[in-house]
Amino acid sequence: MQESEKYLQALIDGDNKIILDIYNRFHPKIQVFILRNNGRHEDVQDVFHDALMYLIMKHRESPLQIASFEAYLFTICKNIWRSTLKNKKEWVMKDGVLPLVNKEDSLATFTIEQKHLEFYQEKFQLLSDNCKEILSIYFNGMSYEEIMKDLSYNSINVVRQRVYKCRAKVVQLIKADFRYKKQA
Amino acid sequence: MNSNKEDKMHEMIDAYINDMMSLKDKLSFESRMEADEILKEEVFIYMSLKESFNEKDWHTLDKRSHGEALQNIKKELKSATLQNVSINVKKAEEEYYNVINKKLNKRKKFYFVAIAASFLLFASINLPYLLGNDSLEDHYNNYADWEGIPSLIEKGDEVAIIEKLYESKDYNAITSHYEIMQNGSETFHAYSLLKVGASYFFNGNYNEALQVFDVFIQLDTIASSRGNWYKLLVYLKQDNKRKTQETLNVILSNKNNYNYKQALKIKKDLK
Repeated sequence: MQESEKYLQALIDGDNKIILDIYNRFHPKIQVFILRNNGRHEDVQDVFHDALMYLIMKHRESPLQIASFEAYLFTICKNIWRSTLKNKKEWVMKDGVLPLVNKEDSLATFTIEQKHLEFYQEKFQLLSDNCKEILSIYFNGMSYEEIMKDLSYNSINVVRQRVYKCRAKVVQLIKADFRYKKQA
Repeated sequence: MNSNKEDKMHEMIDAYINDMMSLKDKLSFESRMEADEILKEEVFIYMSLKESFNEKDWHTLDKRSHGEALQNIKKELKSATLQNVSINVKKAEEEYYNVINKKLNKRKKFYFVAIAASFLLFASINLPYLLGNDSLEDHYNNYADWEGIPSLIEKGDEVAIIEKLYESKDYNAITSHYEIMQNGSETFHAYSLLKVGASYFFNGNYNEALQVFDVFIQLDTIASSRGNWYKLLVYLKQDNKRKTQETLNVILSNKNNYNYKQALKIKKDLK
């Protein structure tokens, strides 16, 4: 049995020994990530637990095919943390105070957000390597000028055109998929 | 749309999603979007992509358009199966943190070896005498661990309310909330029940506390044996010898029961 399958099955079966092994092996890395990104120890506990619950739900729904349990768990923890930070930011901006956290609600919301993200990623993977490269850095906040220098383009205008074309292409792929209409 | 117009539109979308428009332009662009569903959709997708692929951001869901899907997931999270799965995960988590905390404490203890040694010497001489004179109340004081009731895992609205009230020690509010929910035949999350039972206990309503712990035990979750431990604490506090013995026997009937070792110590001490 593959390692990923072993861990996922253990989570569903409630195999205490293997679940403890998951904590021992993977929790420290998640802890470092969250503490380095404005989190507290209580956040680590919540995020790790929610990530495992997410994996359990997904695997129960349809068996997950993942190459590396560690990498997938880390991605889910990281995304839960991104979502938590974004929500905190929005709450503070809207009301100035943090509401009472309804964790069941936040895990349910995250589950749908993660599904949307995976759908976008799937479409993104269909782009050419050049498009993937240029859009990745564009989405992560690099200016057209920086992209021009970094990827050795001749002018800002060429970069801009390239970004527009690649972005339009991924949107076209998204809109053409029946799942997009279902989730919109 | 010709190439120039298309570029111009892209520039505007760019400025909008990067929040680089003046307020006036922004309002004008937004009213344009309201009148043009296709444009609105394009901007929404661009925005979602940007937020999704930016490592420091996240695309949040518009909950209004996903109400049914959200309800279905929440329902699943509340199901008995997932609650049990969650309790199992929480159990492993507790074990993990216990080991981590023990390691941390070990380091701290290193600096207090001399004090600890003196204390142990004193305790080893006096322990039989001290234990021999313990009343049930003393045992209660030694073993009461109400703060050990687990924090909640999948918190629903009711659960979050109970959690918050328990933190602020508003036990009256918890029991009132429970009674209102009971009248409406609402079911409580298993761990909420423990906090409701504890709240009755702290208010001196021992019978109600025992009843709530019985409900918890009857839920037959993997954590059910905790209910007997908290019942034991109530009987110790009430100085009820017969019920204390009965409950100890229940806990000691299975080594996997919650606080089995502590129950064994109490049993020996009471002999």
